[in-house]
Amino acid sequence: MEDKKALIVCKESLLSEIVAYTLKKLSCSVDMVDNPKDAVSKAEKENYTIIVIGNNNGTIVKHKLAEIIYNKSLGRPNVVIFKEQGEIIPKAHYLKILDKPDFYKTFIEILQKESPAIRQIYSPEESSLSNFIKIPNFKKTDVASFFKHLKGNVKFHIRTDEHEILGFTMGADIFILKSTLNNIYDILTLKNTEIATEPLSLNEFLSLTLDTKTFKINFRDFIVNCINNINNKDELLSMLPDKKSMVTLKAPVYIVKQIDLINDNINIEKLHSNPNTTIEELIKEDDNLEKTKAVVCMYMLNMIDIEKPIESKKYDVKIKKSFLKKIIDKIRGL
Amino acid sequence: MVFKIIVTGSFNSGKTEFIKRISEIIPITTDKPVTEQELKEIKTLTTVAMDFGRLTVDEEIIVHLYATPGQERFDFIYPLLLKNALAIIILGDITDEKSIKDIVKYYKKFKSLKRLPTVVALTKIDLKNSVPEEKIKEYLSELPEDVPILKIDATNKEHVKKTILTALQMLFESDEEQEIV
Repeated sequence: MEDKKALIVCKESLLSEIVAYTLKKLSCSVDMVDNPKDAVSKAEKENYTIIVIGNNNGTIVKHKLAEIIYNKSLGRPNVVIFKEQGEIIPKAHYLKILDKPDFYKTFIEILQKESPAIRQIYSPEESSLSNFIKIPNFKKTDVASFFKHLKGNVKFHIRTDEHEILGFTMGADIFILKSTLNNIYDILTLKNTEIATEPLSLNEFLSLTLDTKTFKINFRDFIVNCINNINNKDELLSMLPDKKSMVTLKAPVYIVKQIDLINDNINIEKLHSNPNTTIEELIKEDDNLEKTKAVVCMYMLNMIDIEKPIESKKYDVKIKKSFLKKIIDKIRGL
Repeated sequence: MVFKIIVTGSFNSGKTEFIKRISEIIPITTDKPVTEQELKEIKTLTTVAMDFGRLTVDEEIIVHLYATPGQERFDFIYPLLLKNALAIIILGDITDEKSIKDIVKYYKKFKSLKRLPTVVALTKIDLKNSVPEEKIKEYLSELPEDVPILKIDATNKEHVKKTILTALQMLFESDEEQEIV
């Protein structure tokens, strides 16, 4: 363990000291910082074997900070995140997620009786979400359909027999305040979900206690990550309507191309120029999982219009009913 | 997206005139002098490849109108033409027994290639020497009952519109869900 270096990024001095003590006992030299800027600066100069991220004085979420530090590091450090209860940390290959140690809380509670000054060292956050949605009118709702139609500035409470997720959207971002899922990006795989929603006013948003542990991500990235996390083709296909449905690209080509998952797997130009393509044809081109993910992604993000074609057993014609109606109207008007 | 309407029928049945009536462009024709001595007596020019007309519906949808040659030696074109085709209009000259007899032949040929809404239109109703009704019925008796048989003047725009709309309406109404509703 000689010559190993560790960096602790944490504003909680007691916890930092405990972790530093442990690492030093394991023959690591330890640096400690309490904010992301110093952390990145140090990681760029020193070759750390391990970087521990806890609550710190930055506003960036821990997993994002981990990603930045890892990418900017001189070496390839192992990053450990101390996860708070209810905090959502997506998995990454360089990341080790540990529940934030809390054994010392018991010591504090015992010692508080003897020495009130200890309160200043540890002040646990208390945030009640029980009243997050004031009139919780839960309805049985398919979770994929819910996210497909989710608008901005909406609070939501998703529950199943085993799990509970509370969050909201504000503008183009989604915030998750509470989740019992190990990986929030598993959310689209939840079954038998009941969902309650409520509009979120700007005043209410401003009064919410949000900090670095609040999971926040651009909604589009959230959906892409959720879909990328599903590797069961049948599960992906279940999110799509009838495979015979015809697809028309609705979003501008340059927007769709911004999403690598779609751009790498779908010939967007071809789809744009051929609005008579069916979902089946799009997926079947080379029948791979990534292509299915890309189609689901476009569907979930409302980048494509889906229309059932004329379902005729009598004729071998493939055309959207709306297209046929336009042709009929045109000829009538000649 | 390009869709097609195919107009076919025997020699001198009025295919070129038919697409002229609704095409937004002057149809691109490939008429050449008739070479067969027997046919020369009927008309001097005939379509050697196909006539082409166009109808722009909107930015997304364009309908191509193809009049295919009546001669059998151009049969190889049909499978290519049928891609994205919406309907087939089979024309027959009401004054020409052979032309009417050929309708069933055309119907069978296209049906074997692709099942499309098909309308039969007997042209030249403005002429007086039409084939007697009983004979027409006899010659067309092999056609299924659901194939409409219209009598039109291929130079009359309203007649042409009605013929095409009849075929497209058949397609529109064939939608299973629509029928349930």
